[in-house]
Amino acid sequence: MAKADTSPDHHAMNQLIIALFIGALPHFVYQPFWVGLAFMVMIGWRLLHSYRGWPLPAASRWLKILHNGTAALMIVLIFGQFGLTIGRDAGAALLTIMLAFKVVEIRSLRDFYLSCYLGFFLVITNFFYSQSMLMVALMLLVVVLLTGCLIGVNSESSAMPLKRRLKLSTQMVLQAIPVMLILFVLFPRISGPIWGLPQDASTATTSTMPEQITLGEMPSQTGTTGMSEAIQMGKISQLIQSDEIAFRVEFENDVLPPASARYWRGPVLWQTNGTVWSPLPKSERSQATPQIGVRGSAYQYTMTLEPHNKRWLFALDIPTEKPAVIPAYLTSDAELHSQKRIKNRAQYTLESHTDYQLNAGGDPNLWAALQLPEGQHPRTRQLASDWIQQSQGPEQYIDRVLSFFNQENFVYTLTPPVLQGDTVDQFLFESREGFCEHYAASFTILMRAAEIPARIVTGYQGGEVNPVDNVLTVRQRDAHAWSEVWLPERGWVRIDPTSAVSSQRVEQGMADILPADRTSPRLIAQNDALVQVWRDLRNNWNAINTAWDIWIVGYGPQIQKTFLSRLGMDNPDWRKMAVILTLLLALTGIVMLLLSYYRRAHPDPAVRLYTIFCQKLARLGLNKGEHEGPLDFAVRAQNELPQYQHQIAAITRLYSELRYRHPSDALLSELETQIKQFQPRQ
Amino acid sequence: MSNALAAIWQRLRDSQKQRIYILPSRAGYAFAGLLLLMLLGAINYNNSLGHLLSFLLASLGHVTMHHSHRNLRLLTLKVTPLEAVFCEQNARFKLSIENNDSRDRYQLEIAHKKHPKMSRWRLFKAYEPVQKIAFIEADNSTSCTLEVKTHHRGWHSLNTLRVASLYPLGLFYCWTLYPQTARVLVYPQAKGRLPLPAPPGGGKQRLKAEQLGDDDFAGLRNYREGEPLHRVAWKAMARDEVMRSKQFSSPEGHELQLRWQDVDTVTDTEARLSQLCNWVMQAERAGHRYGLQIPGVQIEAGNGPQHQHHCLKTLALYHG
Repeated sequence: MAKADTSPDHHAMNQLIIALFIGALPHFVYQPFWVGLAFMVMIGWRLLHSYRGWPLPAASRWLKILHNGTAALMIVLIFGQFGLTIGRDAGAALLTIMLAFKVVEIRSLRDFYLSCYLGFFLVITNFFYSQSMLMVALMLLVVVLLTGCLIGVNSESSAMPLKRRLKLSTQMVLQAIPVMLILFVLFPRISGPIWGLPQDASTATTSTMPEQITLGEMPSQTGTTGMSEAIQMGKISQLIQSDEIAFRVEFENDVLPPASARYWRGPVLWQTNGTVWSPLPKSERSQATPQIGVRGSAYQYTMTLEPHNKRWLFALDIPTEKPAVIPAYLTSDAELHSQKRIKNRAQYTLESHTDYQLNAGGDPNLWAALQLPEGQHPRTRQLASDWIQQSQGPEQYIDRVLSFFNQENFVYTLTPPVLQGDTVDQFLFESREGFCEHYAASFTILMRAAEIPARIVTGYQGGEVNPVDNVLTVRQRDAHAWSEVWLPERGWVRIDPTSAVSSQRVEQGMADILPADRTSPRLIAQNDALVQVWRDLRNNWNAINTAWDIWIVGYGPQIQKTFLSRLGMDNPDWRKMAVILTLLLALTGIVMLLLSYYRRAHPDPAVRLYTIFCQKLARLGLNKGEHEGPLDFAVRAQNELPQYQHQIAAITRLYSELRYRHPSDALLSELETQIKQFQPRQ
Repeated sequence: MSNALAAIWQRLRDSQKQRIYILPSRAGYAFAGLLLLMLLGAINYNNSLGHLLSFLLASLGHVTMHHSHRNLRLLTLKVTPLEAVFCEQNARFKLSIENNDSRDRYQLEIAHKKHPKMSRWRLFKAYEPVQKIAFIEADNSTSCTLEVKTHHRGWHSLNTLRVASLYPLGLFYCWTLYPQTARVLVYPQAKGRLPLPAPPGGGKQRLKAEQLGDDDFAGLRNYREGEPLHRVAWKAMARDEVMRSKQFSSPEGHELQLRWQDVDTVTDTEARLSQLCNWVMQAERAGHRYGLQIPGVQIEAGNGPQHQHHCLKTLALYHG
């Protein structure tokens, strides 16, 4: 089995270098600059060896020391940069650099194979950073090139020039796709991790709904990466800077709630110190299940939630059913919580009502909904006590407050001035420019000051419906905050003070409020027709991306179950999947085997005609042996069918003339007519 | 459609006659390890595209297996032995391979079985590669020469030919066996230091070309002035316009007898045969008439390539 361990030639090396370069390209962006630099220097060295005859490390001891020394230095640098635990980033950096160092010292076929295999591994590390369609296309190219490299060292370049090698590798990769799809759909998925995940493994989006909201100045230590405390402490007005997708919703039968009723409830905030609002601590929270009364018809929908590394599962208003596939529960605040943090894209089906009564019989946490920070907001409290005395009942008071927001010169702005000191007083009586969190917070304070239980609900409002696939996409920029007040017999009632200031925000959604250049490129933002074309293109592209994200990138244990039950497999488990997988693979194997015996039409038309002649004889039981010459066959056929002796002789003579002596069109057409006229019968 | 299926079925059954074996190569096992590692990584990171890549490569391995197998199908081998050789020289065979498929063949390694009786379990050590064929076009054939080093006199056979390939990716080692009957005669090695025995009756028997007689035709040589015209080979002259005269050896020429007893001083049988072989070559080169006497065989004196071959063959096949 031993194959001569010769070193691969320059052509194979250059092809490998190109493939690895493309494979490493994304890492130049994801990794520190010196990783890319080291990679380029090392493959540059190898290329200079190929083209200029520069010596390789093996040539002299000093070069060997230089090569190994630099490699050691790189490992030290990696530990310096990433610390001692090898996580995703450190692992990818290490692989990229070591691959480049290996390429310089490839001397045997074994080294070459190793580098190709590491190249395949490099491809998978790229998917840990991005799973977009573009990345897949790029990596598919790398796989084709690496396969071409393997073909290159297993054939002579004289027999298999580059073009034919790449054609074959493309062909092989394409032929691999059917089995890949079967495995992808049916291979029983296990939900990871099998062993501990490093810190940086999460692909959670960096922007997510804050756990608290603050009206004052941001803490100064603004972190720049990941899920730092500073972002959690952030404001919703910061979140709306992000166009990242929060979740996508597909409504059953395309029955969507009206735009103004699309409130996606998230964390409920109760406690405040005057500037910062936060949820009730777990110890003080009641464990009672909420009492929910509903009217009207329900909306059924499937949510696809992007990972946010928190436990909230967003839902349209009040969900009346728990998701079937994710272990989750409904808190006393009617927040839907998952048992585990959402670290991967999650998909769940829910049923919600927008016409509901929540805890109408009383709420165990009502006391918390009345608390005010001591000694703060004196002017606001004064205003509240004046107005509550003038109003008859809480409803009238609420209307009064809303018309105050509506009629006074309040401005809804994405860039409110920074508030200092007593934030609520300052906002209500001085700046009067604010964002949804300012309105929600000051409204809630006004309610509590008038002894009406109130709380803030954060979440998303609105979303964009793509007319192509009717999928509603909610982005981070749709983040919103509103209030809920508790009224006797009506329970918790949603009041959105922002709508009193800017009804546009709630009815038309965020996209119309954003400057035009946020939603379309600045160049065409002035031209309505072009903007329309742009929107159509974008809608189609988004629909494709949605399908990609949900069905390909998000295809995990859960979506696999959903998908297989949609295909008609009831209650799919790994045993059923394994059985069907095996059957399908066996079937594909047989089909591939049969296809591999398919004989391509012969390039010579004479041979094709002669095959028809043979088929005609085969019907009479005269089979031409695979290794029987045409003349021998003719003799045998003439003995069997003496009445056709002349025809057989003529056809065979024409055929050998065409095939072995002078091919000509005239003879060819004569052969064709002869064979057409040849109708042997026993 | 049904025609095409029937044709496929026919080819499938035909190909069963020539069994093709396939096993993963070392690189193939390494590839499988890589796939496993990738799949574990993809599961651990819940990475869907990681799964996709692992499955693509697994499927690529499967496709490679089919390509590997197909590369050895529908080949016909024809082996023709070439001329006899002396021991320690290379025995040569002409191999022509016909590709009866509509697809090209690449990178075939031809090996032969070193020993006919070697266990089939020592599959890889029993065979010795002798030739590489980089390419055979579809529906075409190619030929090459197989050279096999010889170590023993007598008939040298290729035993079984193995056609093997790692093509296309080197992940699978695929081979197929063709038993062969073609054989080449191997003369004993011509060596030995003993001088050619003297012909009976004195030392003037060393025949010179000028002393050739005129009874037995011995060959042609360029015409020299003064030779009788009836000796000119007119037919040969008509062919290439060079004037030659026919040479005849004299019936009165002296004969050598190369006898087993004459090599008594050599003890080893093989060395004796080698010495006799050397004498045959020397006598032929010198133009003597010579005969051979070894136990069980006696060859009358003669001369010329046919006679030489007869003597050498006798020596080659001697059983002592």
